[in-house]
Amino acid sequence: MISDQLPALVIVIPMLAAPLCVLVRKPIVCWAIALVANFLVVLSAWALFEKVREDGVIRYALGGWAAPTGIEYYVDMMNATMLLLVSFISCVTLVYAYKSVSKTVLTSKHYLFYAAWMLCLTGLLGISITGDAFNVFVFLEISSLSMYMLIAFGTDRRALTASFRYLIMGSIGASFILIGIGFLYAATGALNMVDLAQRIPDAESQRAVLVAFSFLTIGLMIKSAVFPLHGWLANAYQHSPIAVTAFLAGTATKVSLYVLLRFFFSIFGPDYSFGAMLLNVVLLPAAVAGFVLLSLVAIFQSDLRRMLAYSSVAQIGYIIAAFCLASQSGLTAGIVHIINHGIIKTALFMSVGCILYKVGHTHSHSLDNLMQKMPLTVTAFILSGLGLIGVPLTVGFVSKFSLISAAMERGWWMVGALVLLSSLFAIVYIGRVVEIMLFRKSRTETPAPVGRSEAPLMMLVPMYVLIGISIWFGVSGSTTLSVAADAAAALLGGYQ
Amino acid sequence: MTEHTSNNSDAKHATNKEQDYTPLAKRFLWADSKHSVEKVILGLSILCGLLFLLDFIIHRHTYVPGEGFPGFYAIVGFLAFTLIVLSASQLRKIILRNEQYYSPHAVDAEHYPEAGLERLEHGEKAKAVDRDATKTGGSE
Amino acid sequence: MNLLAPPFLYMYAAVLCTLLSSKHRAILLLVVPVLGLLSLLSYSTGNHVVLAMLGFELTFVRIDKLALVFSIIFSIAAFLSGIYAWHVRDKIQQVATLVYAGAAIGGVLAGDLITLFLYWEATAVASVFLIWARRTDASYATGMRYLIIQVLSGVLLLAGLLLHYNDTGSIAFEHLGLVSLGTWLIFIGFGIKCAFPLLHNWLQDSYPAATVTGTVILSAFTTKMAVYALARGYAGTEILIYIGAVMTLFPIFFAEIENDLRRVLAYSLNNQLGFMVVGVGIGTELALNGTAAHAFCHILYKSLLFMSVGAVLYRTGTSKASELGGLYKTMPVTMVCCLIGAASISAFPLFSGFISKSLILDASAKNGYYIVWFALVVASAGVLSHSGIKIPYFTFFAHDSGKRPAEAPIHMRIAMIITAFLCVFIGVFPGVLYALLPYQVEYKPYTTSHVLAQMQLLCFALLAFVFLMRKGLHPPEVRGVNLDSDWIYRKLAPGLLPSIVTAVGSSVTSAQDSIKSTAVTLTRRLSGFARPGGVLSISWGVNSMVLMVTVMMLLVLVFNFI
Repeated sequence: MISDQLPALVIVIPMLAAPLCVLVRKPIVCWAIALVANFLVVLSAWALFEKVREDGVIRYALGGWAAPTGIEYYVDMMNATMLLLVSFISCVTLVYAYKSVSKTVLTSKHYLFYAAWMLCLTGLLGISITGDAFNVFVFLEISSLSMYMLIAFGTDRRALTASFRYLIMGSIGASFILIGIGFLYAATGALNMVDLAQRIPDAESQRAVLVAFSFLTIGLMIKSAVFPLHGWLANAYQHSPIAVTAFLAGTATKVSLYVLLRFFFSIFGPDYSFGAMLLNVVLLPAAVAGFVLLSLVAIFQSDLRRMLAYSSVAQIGYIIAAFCLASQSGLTAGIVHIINHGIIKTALFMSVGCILYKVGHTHSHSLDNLMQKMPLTVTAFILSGLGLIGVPLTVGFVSKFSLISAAMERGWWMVGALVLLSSLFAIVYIGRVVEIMLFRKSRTETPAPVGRSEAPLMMLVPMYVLIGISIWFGVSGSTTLSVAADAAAALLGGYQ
Repeated sequence: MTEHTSNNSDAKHATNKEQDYTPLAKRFLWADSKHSVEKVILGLSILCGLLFLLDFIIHRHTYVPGEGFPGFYAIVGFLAFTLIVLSASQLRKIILRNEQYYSPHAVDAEHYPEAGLERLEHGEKAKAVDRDATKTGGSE
Repeated sequence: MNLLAPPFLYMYAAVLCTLLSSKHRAILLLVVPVLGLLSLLSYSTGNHVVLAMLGFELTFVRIDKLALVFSIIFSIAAFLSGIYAWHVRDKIQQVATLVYAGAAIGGVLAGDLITLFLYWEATAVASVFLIWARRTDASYATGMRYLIIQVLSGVLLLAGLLLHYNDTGSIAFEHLGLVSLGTWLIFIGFGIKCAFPLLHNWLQDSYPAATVTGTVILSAFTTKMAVYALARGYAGTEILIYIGAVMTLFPIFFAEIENDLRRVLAYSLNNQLGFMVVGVGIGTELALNGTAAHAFCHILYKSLLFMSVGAVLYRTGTSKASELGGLYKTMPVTMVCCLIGAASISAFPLFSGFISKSLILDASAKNGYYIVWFALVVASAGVLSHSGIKIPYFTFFAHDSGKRPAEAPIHMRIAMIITAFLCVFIGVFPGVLYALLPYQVEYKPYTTSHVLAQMQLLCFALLAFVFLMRKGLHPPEVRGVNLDSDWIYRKLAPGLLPSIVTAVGSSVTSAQDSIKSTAVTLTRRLSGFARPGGVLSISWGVNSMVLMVTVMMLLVLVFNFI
């Protein structure tokens, strides 16, 4: 039965698509292969999601080898959601990528670009689906290596240094994670997550577990770009090809956040992570400082991509702060924001990509009166920008609202207040750009007549698909909230 | 936009005469004559005197102690107005600043952008321009 | 029917508006308020359009008499401003107007605090475009200040409603009262939009900065939505009486010496809000009726005044009293309308202000707030001084500026004449408005004592004006900026901030430099043998990033092991 093999299909399809691209080499065919593969993955992920929602957890032994020996895929509501989110964003961005990539990347290298994309997708999905701690590391490396490659495709030479820095930091993060997993293995003798969760409380050397925990914390913080370990992110987002940025922003950090959730909540358990381990002393201040300071930093950025990159770090701060609440409502808020932010940040980067495609740069100061030239793009930017700020009826509001009410429930007034403060900053950095795009040029007495010159439909349609979804999720907040609540319950309930 | 003033200079001279004003405006031309204004002021004074006297004839219905004092409102009206104006003049001495004080972050010192206006002299017909072209609405 | 609720209609229209040609957009701006009003009147009293959102049951349309009277006048105001703005071809302004008006009506119809908050924020975001649409650097800065303050108000409302929800488990927007931190926060949030003393600066700052038509639109909605919210949530809260009394008094002095006539009107708006707030504070049926009636009349005559000053601005390019004068000769219709507006706001008998303001004055007297009552009487004389006399006198009469602008365009004249007609109509037939009020109260404004008292007050105030002009004591109109309490955040704080920022900034950079250099020496010492030439030295970022990792690791270990 094909439906029983869904967990494997999700990984195998993109993994096969990658070498196929290398074999074919013809850009448009490669793109088509990648797109078809990705589409199939979305369908599988969707089917998996529905199945998990109805029947509960799926445990799938890869290659028929049972758990302790073989690798097990463990799918509950949490990772089913992640699979769907990642594959969907990837699919939409891939449609979008064709035009922007063909303009910026050498045609002879296109097949490599799509192959790397497929590998990256494989890695990200693998991380999300696997139930084996070491396997997480393997997929993490697959996704990271292909991602360094994708970033290096940027037109700018600075893309290379950006990619290199990311490589260094990514490798350090990955090593930390590997060391953490190694210590866990030493302490418990298990790699399967379910086994780990069972054995950790009874492990002989609690000190080894503690060291493992510390290494994992730092490793995952680097990977998810939690302030102050976010240094790699701004350059990587700014200099990589814009489609890659959109893809990265929506998926890579989100998947790392998922791993963080998986380790802290499912494996170590919230009592261990946030109770005994005092994670709140490190993680919460970092998260709060992150969303306040980096929102402030974003205000002063003149490059749109860099501004959005810093805003991403700030948004990750929200998510981490929500995790730190370690309650059902807190986790729900965090997960909802993973979904929502994934969608709107991707849409925002797409609109910036459209600007880049037509205008050739993204310096906010010289985007005067862009509304006349590219009304659809600017509208998209405004709509998703409103979502980022958290204006009511947008997804951002759903996140902000659930985060603040979760914080209040715990009695963390300060956190709630600071979230509101940083959303004020968001108004300034988005409002500043919007004002320029809408009004600036018309201030001079005789504006140069600019004709309409909109980005190609291939770029606009995917962008508006995401915006449509974000509006839908924003207006009926309960759709995402209920999914996130189920996922949060799955995490807090531990392994069955 | 300087073309307005250049185009209209002849129109201005032509329309600056009383007979060109609309009938409604002509009814108010007394405001320019000192004599008529004096008459109006006299009328106002008489009205005030009458109103004051009425207070002694008509019994006003009152709620507040003192309100029934003859001429209460007249006195309050006169004194309140005078005091407000006089103290506002004093306030001005403290808070008045140069028009440039907040500029360029406030509108006080700038001209209203011509694109949002339609300056016309009296008697001049609005030009049938395509406003879409002149006004850069950020639209179209 | 759910989908045709009035606020939704405006939102659909806003979307539709982006697709239409400029002429059709102007028509749309007229049609939508009519449709909205029809839709509004088709609802029966009670809660409608209850939708599940965000895990709550949100009531989007709650009809009762209080909500009805405010939403009716909002629809009328939207319609009138639509006529007035007929010439506007700026799509952004038109869309913003629709969203803004729809949000204000939505806020009034909101049956729960979350819905209220949704619209509360929407009014803030939509209305700022009416300021930015002026398209100057100054209007950008002003708009930003306005937006931040407006959103701050929303943020306080959100924080307050969450606290309130935590306390009571209810999000219903009913009487709240000042009982907890949550309700206090909501109160302050309302207070910002209602321009309480010291929270008022945004009003005088932004309204003169908006476009000609934008100011007319702005003046109708935001503050009156806040008055409605106060009336709904805080009726009978005593502190409001004193807040309101202060609000009626202090703007008078500022208005008296202000040169920009649109700012004079903004101060005067603030003063009129004071009357309404006093009414809310007293909270009796008579007082609340007074608040609703005064809001109704006020929207009309304040729009009328803003329209007439706007028309002058449109024709002459300035709204500064020192630059104007003698315009009656060529703009007689505007002048007459302005006079009617002035008479209405000054509450001359037979004009609308008279029949609404006296409700509030009577309520304060009947409930024994004599000092407040006296403050309101004094403020009434003050209203005459800045709105009743100053606006028309210095614009249309006074010394002749030599300006001979053409009469306002026909659509502006139509808008002004209709508004002026409504002002007089309500003044002559107050029963029509009284029937709309929230409570059944038998009230007769036209008693001999009332008319006599009011005529005495106003005529003697006029006499005082003549006297002061004769003596040369009336402050002349001079160009300039008058400071208000916003000086603190516009001048003092920015003046201090740079020094603070430089101090902090220099310490940060020096810290960065030292981190950088220690990191370099550290790595040099630790890995003195093989330094990958060039690459690492330019990307010092990696050094500091690694250092950061080390520091964080240390922190985690320290906290985990102790």
